Amino acid sequence: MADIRRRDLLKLAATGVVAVTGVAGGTQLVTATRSQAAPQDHNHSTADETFEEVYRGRRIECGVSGASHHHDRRTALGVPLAAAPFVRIDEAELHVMVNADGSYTSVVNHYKSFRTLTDVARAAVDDLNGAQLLPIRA
Amino acid sequence: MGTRKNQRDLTAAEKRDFVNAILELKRNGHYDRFVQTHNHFITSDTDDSVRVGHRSPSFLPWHRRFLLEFEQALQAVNPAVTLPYWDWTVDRSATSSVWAPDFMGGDGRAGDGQVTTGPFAYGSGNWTLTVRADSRPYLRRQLGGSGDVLPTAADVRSVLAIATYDAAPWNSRAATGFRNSVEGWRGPNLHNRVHVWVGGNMQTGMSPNDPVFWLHHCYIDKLWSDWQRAHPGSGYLPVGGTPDVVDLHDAMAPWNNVTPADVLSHTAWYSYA
Repeated sequence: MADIRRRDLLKLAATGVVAVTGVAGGTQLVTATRSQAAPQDHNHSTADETFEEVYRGRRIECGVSGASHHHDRRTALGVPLAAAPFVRIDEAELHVMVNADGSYTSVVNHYKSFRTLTDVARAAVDDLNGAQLLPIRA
Repeated sequence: MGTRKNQRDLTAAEKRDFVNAILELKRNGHYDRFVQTHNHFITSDTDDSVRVGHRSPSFLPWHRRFLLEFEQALQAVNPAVTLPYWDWTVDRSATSSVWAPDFMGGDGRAGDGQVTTGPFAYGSGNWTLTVRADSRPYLRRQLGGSGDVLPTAADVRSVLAIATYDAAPWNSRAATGFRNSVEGWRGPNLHNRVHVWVGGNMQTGMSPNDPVFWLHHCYIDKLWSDWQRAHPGSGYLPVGGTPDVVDLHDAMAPWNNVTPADVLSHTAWYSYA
């Protein structure tokens, strides 16, 4: 819990369902809103899933921004596919994408799928083996 | 017209010429532009938007054109060079000759995964990764480290037996069709699994940083050629009017002057031995 910033706690507290659990390798804080919490304005951007943990000594932050709540297709965690997922490792962005089946893929694991953003982030930490992510020239 | 051979059949001189041409492209900066192009496409080819190089019907023609451009760059260095292919259904271990010090070099070492043997070892001074996702400038591999095994000949036969080229929704979720099975999002998983099996840089968006990328994709290109011969009545799909997808006569970025129809036959440029 000591690793979680106050602003994140405030943000999460405002979003509804919050669960705090201790897991092997780090402390995690998970929150997920339900669809009834969706804003009426579909153009409004919101983070409706955020997650932060320290895993193998690396700070993982991930979530979804720009969610479009009228979208039909959702990930395994119920996140609309039109939303933009993000993952940061020690504050550096990991390029991730949502696959059509709701799984995730990242730039360091681009040929396989992971069920959750947490899974894809942890796999990246494992692969990085202590290295720092660099900005991608798109 | 050149002949693309199985890498296991190359002479020592052919291996040397191929490696030296690659090293020259790396030295003159041309090589890293291929790495950049590949990463640009794979990170923007998404299942629900415009997709050209991956998870879409044009996966095969896009890579055919991409490999052809690379082969022509090699031939500008040495006209005798052609791309070899790696048949991973046969050469399927970390001790296969493809990983020998006179060719691709070996597995990554324990600890940091750094390739320390062969012409592409960082210590050679000729292979520093500049287009990369992280701070490590050296080539990495972890052959078989994912716990997967390479696809088998039976896996390949089952995919080649699929009679339809591709199917809606024309992305990684297409439940049927040759393309999605050969790419590996469905079925026994051919192409994707090999990237993961090699591990290290090969499983990243910058996978051409590992020169074995070209040998792997040359074999994928050969499988498409084999499939075409096995199913002469099955053409490229879709043929027109499909959102976000390259239809048969649509131009493919980044070249914008070549369509899938233009590269359905490769015989003007090369044949497979």
